[in-house]
This record gives sequence, C-alpha cells and structure tokens, in this order.
Amino acid sequence: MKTETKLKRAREKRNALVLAEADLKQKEHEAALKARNAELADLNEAIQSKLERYADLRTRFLELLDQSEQVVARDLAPSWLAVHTKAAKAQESLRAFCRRHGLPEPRFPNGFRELEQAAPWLPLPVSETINPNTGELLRKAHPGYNQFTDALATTWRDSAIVEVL
Amino acid sequence: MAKTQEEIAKEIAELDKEIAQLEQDKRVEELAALVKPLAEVQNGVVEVFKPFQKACGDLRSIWKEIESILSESEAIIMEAEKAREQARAYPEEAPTELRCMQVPVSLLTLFPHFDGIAPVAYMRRVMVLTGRGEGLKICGRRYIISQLRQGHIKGLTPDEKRALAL
Repeated sequence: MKTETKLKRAREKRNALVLAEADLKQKEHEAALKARNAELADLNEAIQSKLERYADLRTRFLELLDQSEQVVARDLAPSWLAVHTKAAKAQESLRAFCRRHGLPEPRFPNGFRELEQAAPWLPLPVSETINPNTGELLRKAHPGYNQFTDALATTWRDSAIVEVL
Repeated sequence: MAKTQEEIAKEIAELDKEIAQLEQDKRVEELAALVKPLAEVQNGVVEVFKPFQKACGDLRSIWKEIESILSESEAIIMEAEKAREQARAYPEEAPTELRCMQVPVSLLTLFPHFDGIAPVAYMRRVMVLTGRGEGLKICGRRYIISQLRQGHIKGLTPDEKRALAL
C-alpha cells in the first residue's frame, strides 16, 4: 500500500476517533447534567416541603406567643395576686399567734427551725420539694409565701410540691 | 365487804393513770382548737396557690413547644441556606425558585421588641436566649419574668404590678 493511502486512512481513523470522543464527552456531560438536575429537583422539592413546614411553625409560634401572654394576663397574674394577698394575711396571723403565746417569731421563707423546736404541734406553712438535679429533699416555706419570681421558679422546676401542714 | 388498803391503793393508782391520760387528751384538744383557725388560714394559701400552679404548668407546656419550634425552625433555616448555596454553584441547571430563594428569617425576630432594642440582642443580654443553631435554648420562665417586668404583658393593673413586686 502506498504511503499516501496509509496516511489518508490514518487521518480518517483519527477524525472518526475525535468524533467518537466528542460524542462520548457530550453523552457524559448530558448524563452528569441530568444527574445534577435530578439532584437539584429533589433538593428543591425537599426544601419546598421544609419551607411549608416552616410556615406552619411560624403560625403556631405566633399562636403560642399569644397564648403565653393570655395565660399570664388571664391566669398567672390574677392567681398570684390572690396567693400574695392570702399569704400576707396568713403570715401576719402566724406572727400574731406566736407573739400571743410567747413563741419564737417565724422568719419567712426559711427560718422555722427555732419555732418548730419550741412548738412541734404548731402547723407551719412548710413544703418539701425534691431538687431534680441532686435528688435532695428541700424543706422550706411553701412557695406561696415567697417572692413572685421565686414562686414561679420553684413551680416551674418542680411539678409536684408536697405540702406539709 | 370493806376494801383492803391494798385494793384502795391499786384503785387510786389506776384512777391517777386515767386522769393523766384525760389531761393529756384535753391538752391535745385545746391545742387543736387553738391552732385550728391558724391551720385554716394556711390551708387557704395552699388552696389559692393551686390555680397559680396550674397557670405555671400551662405556661411551661406552651414554652416547651416554643423551644421545640425554635430548634426545628433554626434547623430548617440552616438547611435552606445550604440548599441555596448549592443551587448557586450550578446557576445554569438549578431551578429558578431554588436559586432565587429567600432564606426565611429566624422566628426569633417575631418576638416583641423590648424598648426599641433588637429582640435577639435583648434576649441574649437577659439570658432568655442562649446557644446557637441546633443548640439554641430559650428560657420561658426568664422570658415571662422579663415580659412582666418590662410591662409587655397586658392586663395588669398598677395594684397587681405592685403585688407582683415588679
């Protein structure tokens, strides 16, 4: 075979291979693009459903903030006012009783030890709570006799308050 | 038949015992009567405390749900931000809505303002809010107290505020 013919065939073969390579690259690119598109479509779908969930959460969140304010204004504040008023009267009654009977003065919220020793028969507004962190039994004045923030904190922390009267 | 001296002594001893017991019972009765009004007043405090305790329980439930909503919403915001960044990396192929998506603002911005201070900054300052991202925590109790102190809870009269020591 002549060299020229060989050269022609080699060039033709090379051209075919270049075309085949380009075709393959194109197919690979298309496949990658398809995969990416599918991935992004999935991502889009997933995020859209998350955003819908977010919108629901936002609605619920606003409802809860509103409920929180309502509970405070309608239940928490008035009920505390009732507790505060009664506790003030009860403290005064106990102090007057102790003065009348020559007993040591009760010191709210924790100073009952002296009084308990002097008059174990006296009903005292003492409550017992369990510290959830240490399991320790705490004996002190019923939270109703405390300041608002302390009463709220105690009640918030301890679901069960045991009254000892 | 006349009682012997021994029998009489025994009877006296029994009567002394009975009298001592009756005196003891009388003291207990007197003490019970003495402290009854006091116990009633104290029981009154315990009784009126129950509605307050219930209101606290209701608030705690509300704030537990708020805490869980905030955690979930923060996670969604982070996911949305990641998705948007991913979509920007492929501007040709990415769906337009994903590419142009506005990452939703945090739910924390929906809290009421505190005297003109940005709510998030304020809540961090008063420790209502701690942590970030998935570790975000909000303390409902502190929030309620600060709301009351700031006068943002409506419906309290000046007398009630004084009673609450605010």
